[in-house]
Amino acid sequence: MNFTGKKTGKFPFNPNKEVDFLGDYIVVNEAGTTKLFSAHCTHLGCAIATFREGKFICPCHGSEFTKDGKVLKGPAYKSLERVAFTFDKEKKFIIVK
Amino acid sequence: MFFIALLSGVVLMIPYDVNHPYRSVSQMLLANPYASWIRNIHYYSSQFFLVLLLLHLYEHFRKKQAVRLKQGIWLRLTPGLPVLFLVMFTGFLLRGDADTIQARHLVEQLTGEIPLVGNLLAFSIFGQQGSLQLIYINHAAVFSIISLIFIFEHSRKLWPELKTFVFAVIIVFAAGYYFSAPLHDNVHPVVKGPWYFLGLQNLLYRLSHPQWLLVIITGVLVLVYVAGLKTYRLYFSARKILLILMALYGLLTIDGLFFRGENWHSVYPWQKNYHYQVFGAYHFSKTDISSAKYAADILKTPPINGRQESCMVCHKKVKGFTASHNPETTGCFSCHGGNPFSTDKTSAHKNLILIPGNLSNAKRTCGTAGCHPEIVERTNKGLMATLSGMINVDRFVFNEQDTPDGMTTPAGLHHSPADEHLKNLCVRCHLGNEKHVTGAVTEESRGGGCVACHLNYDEQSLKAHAEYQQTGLLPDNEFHPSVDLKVTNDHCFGCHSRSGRISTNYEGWHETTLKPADVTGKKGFRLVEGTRVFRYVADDVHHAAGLECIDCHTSYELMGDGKHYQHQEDQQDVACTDCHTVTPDTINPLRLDGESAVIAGLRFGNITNRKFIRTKKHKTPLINTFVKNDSVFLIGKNSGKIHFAKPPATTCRRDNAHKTVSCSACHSGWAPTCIGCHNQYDPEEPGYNMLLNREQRGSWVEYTGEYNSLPPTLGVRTAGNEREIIPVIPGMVLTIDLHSYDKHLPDSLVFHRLFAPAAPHTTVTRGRSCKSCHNNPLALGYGKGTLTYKVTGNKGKWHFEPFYTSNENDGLPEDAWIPFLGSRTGKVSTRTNVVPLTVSRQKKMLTVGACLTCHDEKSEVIEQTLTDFSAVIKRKKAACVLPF
Repeated sequence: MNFTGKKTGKFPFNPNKEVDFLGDYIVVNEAGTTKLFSAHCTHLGCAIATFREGKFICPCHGSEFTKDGKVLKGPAYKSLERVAFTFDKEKKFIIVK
Repeated sequence: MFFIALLSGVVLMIPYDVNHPYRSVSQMLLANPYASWIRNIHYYSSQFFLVLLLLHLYEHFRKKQAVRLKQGIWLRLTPGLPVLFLVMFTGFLLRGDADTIQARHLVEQLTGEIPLVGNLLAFSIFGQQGSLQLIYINHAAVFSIISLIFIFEHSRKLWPELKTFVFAVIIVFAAGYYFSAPLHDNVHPVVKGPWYFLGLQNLLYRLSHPQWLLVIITGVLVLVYVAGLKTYRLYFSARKILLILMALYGLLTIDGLFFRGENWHSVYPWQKNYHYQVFGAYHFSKTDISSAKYAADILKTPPINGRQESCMVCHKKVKGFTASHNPETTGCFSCHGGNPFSTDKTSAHKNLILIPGNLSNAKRTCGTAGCHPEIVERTNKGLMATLSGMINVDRFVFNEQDTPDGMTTPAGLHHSPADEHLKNLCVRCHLGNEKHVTGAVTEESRGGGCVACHLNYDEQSLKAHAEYQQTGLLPDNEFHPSVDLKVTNDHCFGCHSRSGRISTNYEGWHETTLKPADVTGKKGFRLVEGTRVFRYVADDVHHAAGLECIDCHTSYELMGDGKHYQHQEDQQDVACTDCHTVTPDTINPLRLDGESAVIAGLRFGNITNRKFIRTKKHKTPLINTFVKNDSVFLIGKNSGKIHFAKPPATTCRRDNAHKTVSCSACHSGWAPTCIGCHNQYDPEEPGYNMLLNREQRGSWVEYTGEYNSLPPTLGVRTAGNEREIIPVIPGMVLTIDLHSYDKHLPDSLVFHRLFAPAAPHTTVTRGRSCKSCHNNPLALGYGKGTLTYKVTGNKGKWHFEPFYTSNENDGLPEDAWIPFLGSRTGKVSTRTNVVPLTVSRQKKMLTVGACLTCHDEKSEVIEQTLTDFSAVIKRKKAACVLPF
């Protein structure tokens, strides 16, 4: 069983938000491109909901990740999981299948 | 204990709602004291059971004799141990609060790591993600029954002894009555597992590969089994190891329980806010039987953060909020703290934050996750909070450092003469200065963090506040001041009417040295703070048009953009030419950053089809602008009034003469000046420590000289190879008697003649005349006086007669920056990159000035000099005599 974010669904998309927390996912908008990451820490799956000083911080053990999902500080050693997604026609929603 | 837990658990099943766990537990705490008490009994009996179990194990491990149990029973008891922990842990998960949601993620994933059976086991224990149904069944039935079997097999008793049972009941009922079982408030950022797993959480913090924990747990279980064998050498060694492991685990648990805060960072008792950082998420209170009367009221309150909170049971009529801070959506607790799970006034108001938004509490009020954490983070780095420029310039002036540059904060002030000077006279204006008293913003307001700008009292809230101050009780109709985006000039006035006096300049008021009695009944004067007399000169053209401070200045300038800056002009982003331009730099709504988009949406509604201006310096969107048919318009953020931003005149756009002259050098109508200031420390003076906000004996005293409102002097700001002519004012022409503070200091008297770059905020539509710079000794830096051009034969010569006498310290006129046709080096300004006009530049300017003594500035020949000065000089008539 993988708890690093496998939920499907349709989530509201805000292109203006540099970082948007959508429960199990994190949306990162940068330089015109959108990336979707699992919000669950790769160490033990705690949900990340803090972005401070350009870093995502896990509340359980303090692992830190860059905006690209790369590990800055352990205990996690794997990057945040990138999640494939599509937009709806009007680009108002993110769809995860 | 297990029996009490079992019985209380059965009763607890009645009020507990597994579909809304967190909410149903909060409702028990708030309005069902009997259910709350039962929950507390259930919690404490199970915790005591675990403590007794651990003590029992400890007792076993330190014995030297073999266990009396049969090997088969011991073999069954060993796996029973994790089952007992599971019954405890599943009970913990049923709280449904922030702690338990994260703990579930963690343990679920860890269980899934068990080879072969991990996923099946995880699913069998925890069930579907997001649902507590299976966990509830496992806790209430499966694990409890298994535990009961183990206990029975181990002790061979079904019923406890009556005496022991009664004693246990008394202990547990009393503990449950006086201390509520923990429940996370879902606002505090700390996330912790149950106390008995904090050792594991701490261990996992040190393990990048958490699978090692499974190996360790398996090893411990093997050791426990070996500890029950009959072979002395084996069980003795196993018990010794287990005792050591228990001690180590105890240390890890103590560390996790008492010394870990947000994001598992270490926090120690001697650190600021230690108690809040470590224990702040939980609110313990006594069982309040009388709270049952609030049951109906509690159920009427809106759910906030997935639970009910008590505040609005009493403060049900509170009103006056904007939609974004409506307590029906944000609650009261997220701003004001206290205990959201108690309806008892004293307990509910414990640790209440009267004024949320002070920077000392902003991180846990305005800055909590889900509110404005990134803004609070930025604000603490902004200049209004750090005062970096003010502090470093003051230390530089006091000769305590070689440059006016550096990064610091008011917290870094010590006891040097400059730092004491800052504490006595300056640092009250930093944003971190605590606001302790409720009430509307006045001319005397300083600091207050977020509420310094974002709190507004209307007529009704002022009336309610007055009633509250008189009676000490909140009126029936509680009008709360609004927390909103309506930042007015009055919010800025308190701090910005001092030093550079930008707020007063902008409104056209110039400070004088007159006394209030001198101007009683006279027109054209106003009093600030009841004692400072201001004379009306002329307001800024933008003020006359109705623009407020925030119409130009963005949230990223005012609350910082996350970077540390040394001086005001570094943090300042917006420039005149962002709006007054023929080539606007625009940005469409889809490209706006989140903060700008939210604010633009809140202020102006639908922004879909707008093109916004963005600043040239930091590319910040100016959300109250729009471009239509190549013209720039600005909307008053508070007034809604639309203003057309005139493009700059042709004279300003010409790319030859004056191209290095800043807009404000030409378009500042006047600037406040102050000369001849003397500073002395008086140990008997009744003073004030602005950092600690307390009165003290002894203070620096400023003996001010003369205040004037004059056109600014011109200075040169360098940045790499770029040069810009900017307005400067005599910021620090002063003496400081250092020996009055400390006789042992090497310098006794410090004298400085420093000019400071200025942003006068006295903009006039029409720029300065040619003569106001080229023939003006004040603009050139010589100070006030008479500058005359005399021609003798074919020789011309400029003469300067100063208005002020020479200062005894350097021989220059009191208000001068440089000698007539001379220069100065070294400490000349309050910036390292601002210097006076060079002699060669003065000569160039005075050459034009010489022409202007005969030719009208609007004459054709002068107009031609703007295009090609050298060509005009080449064809000058014989009667034209130049000075250089």
